[in-house]
Amino acid sequence: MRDRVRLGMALFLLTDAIFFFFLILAFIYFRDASLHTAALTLDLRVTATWTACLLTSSLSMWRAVASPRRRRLWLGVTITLGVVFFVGQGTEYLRILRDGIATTQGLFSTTFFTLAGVHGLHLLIGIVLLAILLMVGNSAATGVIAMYWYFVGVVWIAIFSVVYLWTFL
Amino acid sequence: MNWIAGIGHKRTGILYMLSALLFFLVGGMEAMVMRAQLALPNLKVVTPQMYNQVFTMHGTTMIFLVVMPVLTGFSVYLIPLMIGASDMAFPRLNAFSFWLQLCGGLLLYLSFAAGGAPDAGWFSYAPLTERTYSPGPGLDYWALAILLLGASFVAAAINLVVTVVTLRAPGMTIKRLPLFVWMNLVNGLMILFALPSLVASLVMLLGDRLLHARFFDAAQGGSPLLWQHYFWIFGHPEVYIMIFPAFGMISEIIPVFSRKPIFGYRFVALSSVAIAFLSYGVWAHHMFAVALGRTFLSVFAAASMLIAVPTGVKVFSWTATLFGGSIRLTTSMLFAVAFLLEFTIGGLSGVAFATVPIDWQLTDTYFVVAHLHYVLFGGTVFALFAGVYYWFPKFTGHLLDETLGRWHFWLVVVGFNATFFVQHFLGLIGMPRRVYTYPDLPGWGALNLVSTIGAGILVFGIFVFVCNILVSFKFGAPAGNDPWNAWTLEWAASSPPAPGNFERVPPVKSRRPLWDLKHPDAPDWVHEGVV
Amino acid sequence: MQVAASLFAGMLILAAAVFILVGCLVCYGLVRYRARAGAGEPAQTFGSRKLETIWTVVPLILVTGLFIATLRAMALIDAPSQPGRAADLIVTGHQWWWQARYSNGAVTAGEVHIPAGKRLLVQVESADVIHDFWVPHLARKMDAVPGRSSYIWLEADAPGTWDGACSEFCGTQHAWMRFIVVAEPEAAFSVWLNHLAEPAATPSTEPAAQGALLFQQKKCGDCHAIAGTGARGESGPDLTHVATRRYLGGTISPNTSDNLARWSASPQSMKPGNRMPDQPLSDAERTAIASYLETLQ
Repeated sequence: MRDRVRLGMALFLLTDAIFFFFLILAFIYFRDASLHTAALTLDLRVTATWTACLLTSSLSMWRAVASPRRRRLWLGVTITLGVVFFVGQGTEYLRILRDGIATTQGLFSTTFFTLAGVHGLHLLIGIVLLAILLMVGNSAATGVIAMYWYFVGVVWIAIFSVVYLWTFL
Repeated sequence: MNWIAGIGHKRTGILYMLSALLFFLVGGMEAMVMRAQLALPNLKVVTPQMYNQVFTMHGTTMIFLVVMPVLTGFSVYLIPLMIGASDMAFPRLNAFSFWLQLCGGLLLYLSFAAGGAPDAGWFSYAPLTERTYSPGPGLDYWALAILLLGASFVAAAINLVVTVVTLRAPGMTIKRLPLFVWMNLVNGLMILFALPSLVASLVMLLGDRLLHARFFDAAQGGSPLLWQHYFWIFGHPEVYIMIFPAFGMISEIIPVFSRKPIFGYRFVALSSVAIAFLSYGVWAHHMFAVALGRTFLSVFAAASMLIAVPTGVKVFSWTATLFGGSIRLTTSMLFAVAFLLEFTIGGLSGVAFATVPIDWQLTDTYFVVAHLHYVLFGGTVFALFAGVYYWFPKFTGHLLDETLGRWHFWLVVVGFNATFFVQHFLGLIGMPRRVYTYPDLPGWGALNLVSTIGAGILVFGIFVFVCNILVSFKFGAPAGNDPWNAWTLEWAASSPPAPGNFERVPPVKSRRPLWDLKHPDAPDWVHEGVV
Repeated sequence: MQVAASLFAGMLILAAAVFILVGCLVCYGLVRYRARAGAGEPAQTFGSRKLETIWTVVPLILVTGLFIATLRAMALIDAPSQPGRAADLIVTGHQWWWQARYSNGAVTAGEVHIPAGKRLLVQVESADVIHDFWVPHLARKMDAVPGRSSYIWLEADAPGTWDGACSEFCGTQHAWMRFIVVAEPEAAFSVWLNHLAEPAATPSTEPAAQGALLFQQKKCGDCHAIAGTGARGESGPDLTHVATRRYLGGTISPNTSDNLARWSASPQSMKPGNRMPDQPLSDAERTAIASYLETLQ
């Protein structure tokens, strides 16, 4: 039964990964036209900080799976780190929207906010799933939800690399 | 109450089929409105605005609310039976997928009441679909409905793949899968790889329309061609997704009524994988009329011609299965054989489109409309008719009436070919597609009239079909477990199968477990490793 | 277009041969191997490596041949994507009419004249959504994509008139975004082209003069240009020489006095959904405007 659910989750993540691939590809397609705006608007340092939180949350997620006794503690840590990222990076987005109103015309805002927004939605769903897991879940479910949480982290690494690192480096 | 809350795979399968039948009748009515409007030049049966909504809804309905759901219905009903399982891997997800699909369909049709149905064609090219040119809400309904439908199909595909991978009866190795199961397995994977591109496209379109994004708006620096690429990266595999399960049905039916196993199981199975891979490399053949550069077009032309080869392999294999057989021409078999001929025509007209300079004349004309209906109707729908006559006894315990079946068959064959064969000529003499009317040029009126009359005959055939179902459901001859003397596991269950499907699953040592049981002196498994 | 036609003929022969082969095999199989009463199960054959290889390799060879023929034909038919010289004719698709601009600056709509026997380079543009410029007998079709310039060759061997159509669904009146191509001997074409570049004459007789005044007062020029007057609008078809055209409205109406009057005042009744709104004109006004338009030779 556990294998079935893991295979199902793996297949779902496969299809979701391809979905993100197409959104990232659209960003890259329009990169030339939006590079200037991107360089002016994005704050690498701030986002790198929140990114570190999100990646750390994958570590705590791994701990939650690996140690059934401290499972709820590690889940709590993961949720906290996830929320920190969500709020921190979310504030970043609000800043970009508020301050950079002139610079957010055009293709940069289109591609950036679509990618960021879809990822944020996935993250939010992940936090909700973790919260449910914290309240009622068992170890088997933890492993499967962990797959989803790692996926959200990996997708963010891809987005961070293409949107942030590639703009500045 | 159990029809709404129940989660068993057979009930869900039937719900999919019934919903698809309902939408088939709706989509058929839309087609009749179109054919009525086009019967003669310059008619005013409907306004141009209404016509454009009708043709858009016809295509969207037939693809997303008829063909895909009915194929899903057959797969969720039959696959657990064929692999000796008692249900799908995720029964609740299965039921949820159905209701999500129905909601998507209802949302789509709500658009008529909410300010107008979508009217930009089933593949909705940008920038026509931008708010600037399509200010009404129709396209928002279209995009949202298809997102729901996409989610439904992805969930069903995941369920299908996990079911086949994890729930096979002991002894049923992948190499021993009935071809119907194999085709659906490959199909499920294709869905997982193709749908994401559609979802991305729809998210971007809704972004443009509702949130001031600029993905596809040329005036704002966006790219209309990006929509086309993304859509067809989904759209081309989609047409194979719509026919693979039909191929699977034919691969079960022709052998049983020829009394021989499928000729060249391995080639048929592997050719499906070849087609699946190639299908991701041909999408731009829908865009040959765009100036994309000769090298780019040539690559796609080559891939599009190449994909004809594994498709041809299948047609030859099915034909060869007939030879040396002992053929019983039941209605099911009649439709299966007609499928061979109609699908061959459709496939050949497809190769014409792969030939780029021919495409440069015939794309976006009635030649395409002819081609797509030969593969989708002459192909998938004919295979579905064959499948219904074959498996209806299993679903209900009653045989469909053969006399009504004969009437159904001949009316549909005559009607279908009368409607669509002449459309090849209409395309050749210059009639574009998606036109609400046309000038009184020589031959245009006459050919269109023939097509409309053909459609009337086709409708009559469908009417006979529906009558057959309604009558036979209650009064059809009792079928028993195995009316066709067939070989796959579903025929070992009762008709209809009991709640857990099997009390005891028959032993599986080859591709035809029931053949082995019925012929202990000449079982298939002595040939294993050789074929 | 002989190249495309002969390629199609070849393709048709190939397709017919394949279909006849499959059809004969199927029919023969059905008859020869019909179930006979009392017969048991036939011999259970599973396949034949040899046969399967043949029917994989032979089609492969056939499509390879077809592909080579395709490449050759493409090279002959297709115009370069970056031509390196100015186009002879620029056609621009609008919802739902075609504009044609010649190299001498002359502009017309709905009716394209070309010199017979000469291969022209045509630039295909769009002013709004995706359209497709298609003259079935004289050229390949080409999508008009906004933001892109595309090029085709257009050539008529002999004088004559051909139908053209928009071949990419572009909205409500896609069906009537048709046009005609008139091929003339080179001399006659030059005369036509030079005349096209001339501005319109101001009429002196009534009611045309009254019509010209009304055209100005009612602000028709905001959408429709007439060279030599103050009318400079670009969103609707140029009307400088409208009287010379055979059709109006994307060939939906023949060019007659009555139709000109109807188009001036109630275009929605002529081509429902088109972008010209109905105008509040009295019968006398619409007749006057029609008389004016008729002088625009």
